Amino acid sequence: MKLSLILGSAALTGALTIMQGGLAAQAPPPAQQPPAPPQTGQAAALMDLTGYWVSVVNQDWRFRMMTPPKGDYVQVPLNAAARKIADQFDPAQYGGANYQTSGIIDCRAYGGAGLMHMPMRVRISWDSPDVLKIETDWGEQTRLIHFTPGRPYGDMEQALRRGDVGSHGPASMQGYSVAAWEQPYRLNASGFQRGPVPGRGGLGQSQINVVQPGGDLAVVTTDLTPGWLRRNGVPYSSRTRVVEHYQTFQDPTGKEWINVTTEVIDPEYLNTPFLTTADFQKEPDGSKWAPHPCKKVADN
Amino acid sequence: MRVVTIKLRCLWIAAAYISVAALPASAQSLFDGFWNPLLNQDAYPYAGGPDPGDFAGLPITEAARKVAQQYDADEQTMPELQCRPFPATYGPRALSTMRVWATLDPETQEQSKIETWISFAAQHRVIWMPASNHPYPPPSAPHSWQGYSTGKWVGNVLWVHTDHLKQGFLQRTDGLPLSDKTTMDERIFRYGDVLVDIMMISDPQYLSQPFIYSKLYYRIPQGSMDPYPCSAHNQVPVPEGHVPMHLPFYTNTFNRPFVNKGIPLEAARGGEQTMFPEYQDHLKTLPPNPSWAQIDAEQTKQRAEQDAIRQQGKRQ
Repeated sequence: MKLSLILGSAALTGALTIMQGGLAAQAPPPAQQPPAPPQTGQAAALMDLTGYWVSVVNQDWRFRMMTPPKGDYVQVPLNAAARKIADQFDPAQYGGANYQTSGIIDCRAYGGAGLMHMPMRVRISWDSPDVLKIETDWGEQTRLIHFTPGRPYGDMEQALRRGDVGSHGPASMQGYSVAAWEQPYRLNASGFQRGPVPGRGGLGQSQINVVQPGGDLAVVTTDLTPGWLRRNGVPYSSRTRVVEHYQTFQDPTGKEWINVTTEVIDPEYLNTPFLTTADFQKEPDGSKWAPHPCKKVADN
Repeated sequence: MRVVTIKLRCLWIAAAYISVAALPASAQSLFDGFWNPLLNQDAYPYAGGPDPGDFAGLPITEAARKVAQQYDADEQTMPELQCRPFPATYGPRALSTMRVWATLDPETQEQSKIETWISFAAQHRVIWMPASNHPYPPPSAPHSWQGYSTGKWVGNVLWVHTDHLKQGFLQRTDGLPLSDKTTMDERIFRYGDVLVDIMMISDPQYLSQPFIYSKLYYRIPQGSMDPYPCSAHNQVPVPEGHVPMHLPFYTNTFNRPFVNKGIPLEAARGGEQTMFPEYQDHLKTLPPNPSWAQIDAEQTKQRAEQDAIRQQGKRQ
């Protein structure tokens, strides 16, 4: 009897220790200790996005690398109002007969909703512990991605549903971007929850707090001035909201890449959300950085 | 006393169960279900196929270009090729519904394999997971359209490696080849209802560097799939033994579409230099394309020359 008691207690203790290991790692510090300073976006980073990256254009080449012919809006779910605006594109302002390959590109094509799809190099750095900066050579744009101090992790899908991502001031070409590192979905969590799931589980659910590797960066951009989704004048409105996800990966030769998935939601000009991806390859340094200004016209 | 003993035994069994269940597991079901390809990007080269001869943005070798320049789209009408399946390197990029499902080992409840079925051309692929202990085929094993795929989970990302592929094609309707040495690495993950498949295709023979391609799918909550019966029919009567192709060295065969789209003829030749932003500066220096009439006249002349060579060959 005594042996059974000892062995049984030991097994139960061991099992509970394993089961609660993940929870213990997430537990707040004891009350008597001073609270830890809130973690910044930089400190909480799930991946290193900093450095020089070049977009590799092997998708949508003729829409990205050159200006598509006037009136060619294939694949963009434009409504009639948007088509009317796009039809006003004037090739004469962008090189006349050679407008498709002139390299004269309207700044509106580098607006926040279309920027990451443009062929360019980007330089990514931390402007401050809670602000990630993305600069581009072609178009010479700067984006600032804001993390919420003390709340570096989050779930943008949930935030969007709750309406947490609101207006942040005057509109601009790159708008206002908020970001959160999204931890991987938890095993056995319902509703694709990402963060800790306290008080849930039970037999068969005990992996609920096993920490998974990976994760991604989610960015939501609002407060945009009107811009273009394509170089030939395909418009988006000031009501546009852009949801982006950044994920890093390595190719078989060992090169580092970023994949950016962009969802443009525009209730004014798009019948459905417009989803695209862009892949950026890491470069060792900035030796190929080549600023190219964009063309500002009266409407910019 | 006996009651206490029984209770302890129950606790012991429960504890043992919890201990086992708390081990890291590979069983996940993030992708199970039906997925539709999103058509906002690259629908142009994958819906109807790109214009033959349009290789812009593709890291192809000169050898690949030479093979593709002999391609004649009429080969799609050959009965032998009408039901030709798609290779795993192409199928996910085509525009067709995909179903994904996982099989769990009944004893361990770990994923033993993940399977995909793509509607068009009935492409069925098996991704063997570590728990399957499936034997890796020897190098001499037959290559297939879907190849041999192994997978593993890294967090929420499914890593897949595929080899043992049959000689296939990079794009369907422009004749760009892939050799049987081709391998493919994928990273598959999802954001909400969007599935991302990053395909990294390597071929020492026909690609100068890996072709990186990210494909987007959207979840269909209540999906279904039609069968894909395929039977060959003689749709376009051709003389027996005729194989549609262009003769080598006739490189202007495909130039007409580029005039309409404004793609410079040099850019359409592709190669890895066309993938990078600096190529926009090079585009500025290229001469304008010849007029449609000029290109048409040149192509007509080349066709006539090729016909004459073929006739001469038949007489001999």
